[in-house]
Amino acid sequence: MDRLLVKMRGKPLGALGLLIVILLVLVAIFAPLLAPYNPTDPDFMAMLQGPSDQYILGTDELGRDMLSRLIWGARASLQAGLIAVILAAGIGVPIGLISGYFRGPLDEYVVMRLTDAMMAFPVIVLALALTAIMGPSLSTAMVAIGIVYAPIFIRLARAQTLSVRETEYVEAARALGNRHIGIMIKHVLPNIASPLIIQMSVSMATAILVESALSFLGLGVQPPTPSWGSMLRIGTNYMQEAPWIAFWPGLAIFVAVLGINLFGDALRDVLDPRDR
Amino acid sequence: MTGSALLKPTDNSVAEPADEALLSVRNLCTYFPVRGATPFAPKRVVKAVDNLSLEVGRGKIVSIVGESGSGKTTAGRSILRLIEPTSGQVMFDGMDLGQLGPRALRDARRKMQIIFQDPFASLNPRMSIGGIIAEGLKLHSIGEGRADQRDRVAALLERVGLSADHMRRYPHEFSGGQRQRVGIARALAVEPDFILADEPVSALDVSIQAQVLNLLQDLREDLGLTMVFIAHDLSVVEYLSDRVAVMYLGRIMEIADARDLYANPQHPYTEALLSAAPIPEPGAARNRIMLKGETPSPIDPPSGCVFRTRCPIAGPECATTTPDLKPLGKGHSVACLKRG
Repeated sequence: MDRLLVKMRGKPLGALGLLIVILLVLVAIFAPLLAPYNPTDPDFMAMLQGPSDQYILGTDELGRDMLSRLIWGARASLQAGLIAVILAAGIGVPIGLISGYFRGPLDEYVVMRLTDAMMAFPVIVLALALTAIMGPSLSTAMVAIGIVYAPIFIRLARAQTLSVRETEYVEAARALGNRHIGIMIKHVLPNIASPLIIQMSVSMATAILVESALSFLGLGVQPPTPSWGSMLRIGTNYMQEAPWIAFWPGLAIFVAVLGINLFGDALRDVLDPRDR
Repeated sequence: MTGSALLKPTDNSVAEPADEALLSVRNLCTYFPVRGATPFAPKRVVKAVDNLSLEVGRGKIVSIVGESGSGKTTAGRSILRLIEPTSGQVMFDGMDLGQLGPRALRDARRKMQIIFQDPFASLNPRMSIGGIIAEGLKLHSIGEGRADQRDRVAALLERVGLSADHMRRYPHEFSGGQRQRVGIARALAVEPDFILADEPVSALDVSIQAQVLNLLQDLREDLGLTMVFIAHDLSVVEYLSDRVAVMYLGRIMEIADARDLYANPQHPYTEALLSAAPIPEPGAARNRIMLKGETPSPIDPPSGCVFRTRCPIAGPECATTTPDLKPLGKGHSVACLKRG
């Protein structure tokens, strides 16, 4: 871990990404302390107000403080991004790795065809189905995103495994008397990690956006709880008279996505011994 | 080992001189099914290794020589059961490797190791050199504790001509020759009785080749290793081997003691291979035997003797009869209808 930080120092962009991610996570954790107002308390005397001394970032259509909503919204958005992607990778990587490692008809005719079927499935429809079972909430949205994103990781992990399993170092590992599970964990997984890390950072960014779409349809975070996505969607209705309502959550999403991508990029380089 | 009726080979055992063999291969066949263009296309197989029999005495080096596609690499992998053979028997130190269950096979692997051809592909780029060499020690619980294992890794690194400081480095920091030494150290770590060297020098510069060959020679003498050495170059194995087998299209064409084979080749293919080797002497007269054409496709090998399409002395009978290895005495056997 020490070495990791030392290497991070040589990558200013990666460090910036890490800083952004840490900052956002802190904001999400300490939202109750940071927010100047209750994010769900309307102030009908101050609807659609621009930035002022009282409301630094202005107010929305119900007079709720934009800054407070933005701070609280980090919780839903980061959770949606992080947990949904960890869920997707957690489902997808083991399946893809095992399926690609052993190959055979189960891989080709069951796993891959099911993956194809799932990729053809729109996230919104799946979210609707899940909502019918679990009721609309942020966790429903996260599970829906996680399931819909899993095939991406199945495919990527499988494709990478297919090439790594044929290498001589995997054969050497077998010749040494490794078990299959040992070969997969020690030899295959570290060598397929780079594209998976990149995919995770990209998926995290898009998951934040998908969560916003689901929230907009009432399938994710329930009003009045704020999330950046739902704030952005509402803001589009007031683009003419109160552009800041859409601007601030949009900026937040942009910064979060940028930070996650920069960090993911640097993380991949740092974990590669060839770059030392 | 399984074998459907389609994959069943013909049996023709060859008596070999048997002086305390560590490894004994009998009628080993490895066939790969070829997928047809449609599910209804006739099923075909590539006979990568066809009816290979071989004895390797304790402390001896037997070389398998052949050109690309002759099945020599598949033969080596099949002997170690890294590729599952179609049929045949491999006896190693009294064990029938084909009969071992997964667990017993993993344990047995400690006694038989492999050195790979491509030093750039055979080391895990994400593992440190120390980790690569220590892996076998950990798997087989060799040595007492971590400190002892580290000492062993250091000693191994020095034994193969590297330094103990290299332990913490990663494969990409090393040259091909150095990587190959790491690969050798990895194989030696588990104290094997037998090493399969699959073209261990063919990917290296000529100047490095000699160093690595000398290292293997030293190790063999010091540790009493038994080896099967796979090469595509007869000159590389001449001074290293006790016996040499020449393979062509999955079959052994000729097998003999090394000196005998070089002095007195019987098979026309061996003759052609030997005549192709350059003589390091200016103006030396060379009587080269030029082979016509290319190696036929192993999916559709010639009938009878697989070499007949390129053989300078082939007759009509060669198209109908498949020659078996015939012993000529002194451990020299040849698979040719015209010779022996």
